[in-house]
Amino acid sequence: MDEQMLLNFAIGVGEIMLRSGAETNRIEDTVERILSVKEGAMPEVFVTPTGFFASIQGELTGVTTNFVRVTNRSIDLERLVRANALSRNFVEGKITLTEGFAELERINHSKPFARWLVILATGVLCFSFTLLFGGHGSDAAMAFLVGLLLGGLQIFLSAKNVASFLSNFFGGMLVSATALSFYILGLCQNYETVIIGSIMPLVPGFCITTAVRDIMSGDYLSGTSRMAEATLAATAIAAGVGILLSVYFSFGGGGA
Amino acid sequence: MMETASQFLFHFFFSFLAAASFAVLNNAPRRELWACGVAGAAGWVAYFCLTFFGAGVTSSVFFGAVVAAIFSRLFSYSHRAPSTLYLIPGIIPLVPGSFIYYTMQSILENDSGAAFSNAVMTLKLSGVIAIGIIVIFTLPYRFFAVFTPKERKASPKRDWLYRKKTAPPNKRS
Repeated sequence: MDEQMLLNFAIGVGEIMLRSGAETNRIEDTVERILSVKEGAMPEVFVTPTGFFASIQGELTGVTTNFVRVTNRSIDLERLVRANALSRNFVEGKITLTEGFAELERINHSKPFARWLVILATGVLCFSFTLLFGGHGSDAAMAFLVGLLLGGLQIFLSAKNVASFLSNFFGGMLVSATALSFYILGLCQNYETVIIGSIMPLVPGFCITTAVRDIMSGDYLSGTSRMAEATLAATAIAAGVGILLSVYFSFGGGGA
Repeated sequence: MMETASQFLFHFFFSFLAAASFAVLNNAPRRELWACGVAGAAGWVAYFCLTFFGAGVTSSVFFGAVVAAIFSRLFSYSHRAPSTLYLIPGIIPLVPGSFIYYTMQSILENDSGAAFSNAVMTLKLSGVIAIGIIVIFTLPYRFFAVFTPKERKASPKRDWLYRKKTAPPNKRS
């Protein structure tokens, strides 16, 4: 087996996993396992959230190192599962390298859920979180509407390739604008629960916990950069929500 | 008694919905959506149960995360999928989104003390969730080999995981 091809394949699998939001540990483990299929490969892998190195040792070629830069990441569980299954099947010897490359191509072109379903899911998510956080029935109904709008906005912004900071910021603004206007119109009892329930699709929950887990398992570099990412996202949401809320406060609507 | 039971059912149902729809947002495979929902609902019900009987928020969130992590590892074994698939929707109900909001609100109100304590609470809860996950994930794999994996029927149209044709094994040179 050609080391170069094996390295390309391993890098391809690792890239998909890194793009779809896998933990540092898991990616390092997977890439190393794939490279270890070749005997005496002495694989070395180093993963950061924005790119990774992998190297393999060949009998004639010496050490070959490859590097991949990953710019836009978003959690995509389907790709993660498929990349995982692919690497497992390959390591167990169920598929060949050529078949593996074909499957990689298929994973890269896998289709996401239909847009209407994503929008509806955002609505349901906001609806159920508002109820879980002690909201009234009318609050939850309004949160459902806010969620539908938010889902539409997120799909629109991601289609336009807007940076994640801005899309979180606009998302937060949309949530507080609609929640406050529903409140002013008297359609819901409490704008706080509507806002808290409706920012849940944006909140970087998994990012924060992955950051702490990375740090605890000794991957300080990826841990701190994930922490920075999570803090930035949380700040963006808070700023988006806060700007309109402070406008509302300064026109004498309750609070400070 | 009836009221308590219906309250638990209510929380189970809506946390299931929340986790499953979060899985849709993150593009989880279709046939795993219910499992994602169950992981999320289990974590939230454990959290709710503890707060219901008077435990503090931090310890309740910790045990909620532990339960969600246990469920994700059980599913991970029996469905042969990475545990991250169930963990991401599983912990989302426990994530301290409300404290991010309260932090922002107290900053707006120029109440630095409340802002700081809310920010610390956000960090504390997310740290506690991470610790809960780590506690479960450091346990050996065989602890979670409770439900044996189902053999799925190989249908190449639907299922990429189990092919009909088995390829020749790799030559390990």
